[in-house]
Amino acid sequence: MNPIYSSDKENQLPQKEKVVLFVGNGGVGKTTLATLFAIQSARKNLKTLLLTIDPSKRLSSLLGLQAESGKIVQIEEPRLNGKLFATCVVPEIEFKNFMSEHIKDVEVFEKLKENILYKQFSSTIGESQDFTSLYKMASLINNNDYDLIVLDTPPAINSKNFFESAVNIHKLLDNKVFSTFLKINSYSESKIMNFIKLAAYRSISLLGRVAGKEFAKALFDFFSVVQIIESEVKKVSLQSDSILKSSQSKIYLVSDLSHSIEQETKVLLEYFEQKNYQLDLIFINRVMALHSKVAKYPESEPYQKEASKQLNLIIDLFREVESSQNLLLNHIKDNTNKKPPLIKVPEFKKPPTSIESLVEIAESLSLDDNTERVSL
Amino acid sequence: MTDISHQKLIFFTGKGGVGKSILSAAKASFLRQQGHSVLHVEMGSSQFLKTLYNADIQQSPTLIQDNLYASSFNTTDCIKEFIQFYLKSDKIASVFTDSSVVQNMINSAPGLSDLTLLGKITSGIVKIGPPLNFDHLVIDSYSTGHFKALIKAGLSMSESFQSGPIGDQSRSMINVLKKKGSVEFNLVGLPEQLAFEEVKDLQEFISKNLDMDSTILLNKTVTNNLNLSELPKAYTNNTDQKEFIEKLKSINFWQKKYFDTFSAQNIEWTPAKNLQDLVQKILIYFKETKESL
Repeated sequence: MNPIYSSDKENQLPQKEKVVLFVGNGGVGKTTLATLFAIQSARKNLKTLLLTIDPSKRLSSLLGLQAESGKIVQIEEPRLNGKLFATCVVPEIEFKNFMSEHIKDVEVFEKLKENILYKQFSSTIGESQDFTSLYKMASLINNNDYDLIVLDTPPAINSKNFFESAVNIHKLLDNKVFSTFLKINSYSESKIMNFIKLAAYRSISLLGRVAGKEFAKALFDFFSVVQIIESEVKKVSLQSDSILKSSQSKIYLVSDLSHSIEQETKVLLEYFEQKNYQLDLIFINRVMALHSKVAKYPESEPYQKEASKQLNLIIDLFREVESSQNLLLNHIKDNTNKKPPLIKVPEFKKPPTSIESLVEIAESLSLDDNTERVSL
Repeated sequence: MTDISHQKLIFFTGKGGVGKSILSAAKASFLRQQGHSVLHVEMGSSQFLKTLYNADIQQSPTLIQDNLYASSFNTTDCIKEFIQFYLKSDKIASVFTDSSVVQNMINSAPGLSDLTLLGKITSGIVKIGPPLNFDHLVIDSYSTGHFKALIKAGLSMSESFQSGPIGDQSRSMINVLKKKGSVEFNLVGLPEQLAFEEVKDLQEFISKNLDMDSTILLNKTVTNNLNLSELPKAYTNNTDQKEFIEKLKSINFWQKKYFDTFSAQNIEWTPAKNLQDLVQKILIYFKETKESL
């Protein structure tokens, strides 16, 4: 297997991570935490690249991301010393880049661009995000231009798809029966080949019956072009797997403390253990800033009665939320076999409205696993 | 056998983490109490229903309580059912779907997995595949981005393939989703900016692409009766209370914004011991609404 990082010994500092992946369910704040983490590393004078997937409009405009072109932008904020760069994955562009880089025959490429499934794959379909972001990650790492790459991944419901997207495509293309499908009109003397061909014919007619001839044709056209770049897909597949397993990569799980998230987090943790990917840190995000600890119940006398009554109820509510958060935190702790360190991230006092405020939030948080940790 | 000609599809979507799953569970439970037969469906492998109902939930409906069933729809089983239906043979269908080629193809073929899930959900109404004899399907659907991809997969397949089963299937799926009175889109929001923007965006998306209205459910509101200006400055300006009051102000601001923008259904923030407890506590908000079903 090819080493993913430069073989240059100077670059192989032990314990020094080059890639940090943020994974977790949708809505837990992966992108925001990844951004804050990237800001912190830029503040430590590391040339850092933040690679986001489907960032919110707000974050895009805060960072000045070019959501149309996916170009890398330098974040202009004096405190960052020009060390922070950011980009987002635009599946359509990345996939086109990947294809045009590896399909040398212009005619073949033009034909592919007309394929209905290619059009879908490259623009509207969620799955294409997975492969293209893996590809972009792998190519950026190979360029070796950055000290650290911080990658935001698709939501956990697709995490498995994300990690396995290249492997799946490669498995399919690598399959003997499938490649026979694609070369069905070629001539062969071999009895075995002819037997496989017969099976392939039957399967195609079966597919034609259930999915329609038009669809079957589009599907085979699509895969027969993709097959040309099989070795490239394989490369991305191997590279991404070794990136994820490398000691220079860190995987940080972002979770929060809502009831439904617990099971999903558990599923993800089991998946990582099974795949032998090391989970290095768990962020428990948006732990309510526990205002209830400090907020006093208003004394009823000097205040309007109704407002004071309502406020009492709200403080009760927040205190109850706080205690149920603590229960959940213990559950997550108990259900994590390998027990990576947990870091509680408090809810922001105010949502960031500018890059300056993002830097300020980043300064106020400890997101580094070398700094203060939550003892459970 | 239930007559499903009036079957309703009730989708729950919104930003990740806003409480889609819990609200879908409350809706399913509410409809059951109203005397309807309900199938509570989750899409993909989120395994939320497994935790909620403490049962192994697979593709075929599992009985939870009288008239309440749960299913977890997954791509492989959906494709198998579809092929069985078309070929009228379990054996050929298994040969087809059990092969590693087909497995990998399903995993890599563009849009296929999204399309099959949509196909399964609408299969009862278009009477394709195994019957889904329920009055209502309550669907704990994907969050905003993936939900849009799901709808787009159906739309573009139906436009791209003018003939053949895939095109026909996609068109009938889209027709079902556009059927007023048969489909309900519930968009779940929270009183905060990002969730608000997503709900607004999603409502426009559904209206533009499917010409359908959607219901906005505002989850985790904090009492609307509180008039912060009634509290004396000595209390609100106190450093200890300040952050807490700021938080309340922000919640109040976004709540107001929702109610000014949409005719949103209010669902108050309620602490709960566990999921089941929470579902029961949220139920009342569905009771308060006039059931249009």
